[in-house]
Amino acid sequence: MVKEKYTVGELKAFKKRSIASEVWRNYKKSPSAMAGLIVVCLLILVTIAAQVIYDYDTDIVQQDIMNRFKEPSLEHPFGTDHYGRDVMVRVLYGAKYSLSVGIVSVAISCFLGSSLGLIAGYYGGLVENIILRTCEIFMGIPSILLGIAIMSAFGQSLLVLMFAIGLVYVPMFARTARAAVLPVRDQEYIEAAKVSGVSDLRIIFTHVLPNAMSPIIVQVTMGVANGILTASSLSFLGLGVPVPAPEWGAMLSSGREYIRDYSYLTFFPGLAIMITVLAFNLMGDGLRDALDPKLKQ
Amino acid sequence: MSDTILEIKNLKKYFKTKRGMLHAVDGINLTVERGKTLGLVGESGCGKSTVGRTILRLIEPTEGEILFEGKDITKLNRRQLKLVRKDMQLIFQDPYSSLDPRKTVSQIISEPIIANKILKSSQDIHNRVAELMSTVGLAARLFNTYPHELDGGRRQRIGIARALAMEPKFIVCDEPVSALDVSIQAQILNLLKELQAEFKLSYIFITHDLSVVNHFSDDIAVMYLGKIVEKAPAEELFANPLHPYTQALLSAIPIPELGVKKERILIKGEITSPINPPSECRFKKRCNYAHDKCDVHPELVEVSTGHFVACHLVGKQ
Repeated sequence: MVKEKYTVGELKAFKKRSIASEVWRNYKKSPSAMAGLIVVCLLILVTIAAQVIYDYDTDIVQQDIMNRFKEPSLEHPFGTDHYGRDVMVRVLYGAKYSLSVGIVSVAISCFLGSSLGLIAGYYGGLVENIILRTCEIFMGIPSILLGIAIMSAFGQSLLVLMFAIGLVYVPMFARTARAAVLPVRDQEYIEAAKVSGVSDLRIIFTHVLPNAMSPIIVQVTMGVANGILTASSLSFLGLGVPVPAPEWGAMLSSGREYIRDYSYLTFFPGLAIMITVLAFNLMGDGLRDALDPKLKQ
Repeated sequence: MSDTILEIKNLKKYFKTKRGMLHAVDGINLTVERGKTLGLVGESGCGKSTVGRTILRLIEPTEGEILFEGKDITKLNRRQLKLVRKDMQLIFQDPYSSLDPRKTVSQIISEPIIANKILKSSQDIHNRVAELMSTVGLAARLFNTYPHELDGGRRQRIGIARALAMEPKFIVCDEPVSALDVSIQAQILNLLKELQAEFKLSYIFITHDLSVVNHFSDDIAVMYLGKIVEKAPAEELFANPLHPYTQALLSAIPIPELGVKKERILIKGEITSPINPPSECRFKKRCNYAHDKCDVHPELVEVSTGHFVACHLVGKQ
């Protein structure tokens, strides 16, 4: 039997790094995750810088018919479009739309969806049935169609777009969260917490959620990527951010007409979408691994 | 009887299944004396864990009363139940799934203290956790480790420390050693005994291993398919087992001596399904002595002081 007496000071010496620094330490080890993070950070920096440097009215939307369809050059690295606008400037400025739509819509769907999924998984029974069946009904509607319906009902604006995409992905989050909760729900430590007098809400947030987190986090980063794609698709169909805003999907859409002769018009916005989506996916994978304490050395 | 801490009266728990009612626990009466240990023995699936969980109301009973210090806890609401649970705790079988893998040792042990607002300042909580850790024999350097970094014995000690955190009077030990190595089993059993003496704890000790319960219990109840078939003081039960099922169980304990040949009583056949069981003696289909009378389930009768048996063969002799 160990019968030693320790003072608080001595116990503090055993204190390990905080959870956040622990996760960061693991996260750093993965090169692809770091690459994802760096790209996302760069994107955010670029977005902020573009808002400061460029003026919406003169640099982004003002037409310059004399300079139409200029091939990529030093002056216009990505070339100019059919209105003579600089594609690079528009792509950089447009990052703001994609990022904000992706992040805000996922925040909405993650919050609503995960809450529903946690409740469904934890309580089970009738509650679970109602939530899941409702989700299935919504999942039966193609997401683009649902997005179009919401957009046309509430009008075309950035805010409605965020809201629409957020709502579209709620069922996916609900199902992911619920599936992640199921194996956790029957663990004995949940019973132990109940016997210890911990309230249901506290159990959900301190035991169930942390243990069911990995799939949800992956879903979040995938969701950001999906949200960006869906926003671009809606804009491509002319239902997203209203023209002439340089949303990437809208740029793809307008460049499509000239794809045979001036393919750079679609190439650069498309590349921007791809890089952004890839970066978020890499970040999600890295975060999932870093959050698992069993992977720690 | 003022020294009874827990009394279970006619406890029943049926589960609804697709094929009918599953009689997990079927009319059980038990009493636990203060500071004593009641061993609850039976094979897997006989409902012994269900009894343990029902006592703590992790499972709602279908019928019956559970009197804890004279109060029927089956009728308590959530807030009252929370108060009672300070005095009743549970030690789990599997030290791997009973500890949250994302919490450190100190977080696990301090959880009941924080949830019940027993101590407020983090200083006090830290001290209390360190005290509990030393009580159960955990080195203080494990304060911030995660459960997966520790072996089964240490993990089980964490579970015990957590159960002790609220200074309970009564603990249900649900097979606390069956997931552990034999050498570690002994350590944990000794620890539980020491704790019982130190804190005047009462235990219900659930196990399928009679050799474990022998050294540990004051009284033993043998369960078969949701019913108590024999109940007696430990020494009496081992010296004079009366129910055919108890006899078979006891014959299965190995004797640690060379050359001793022991006659084993083998139980043939399979356990009767607990779903819609017939009204005959639950053990009839596997009993070597079964006869016509066994079509009616026997009552638990006292054959000598404190020794109860539910068997038609025994009562009438």
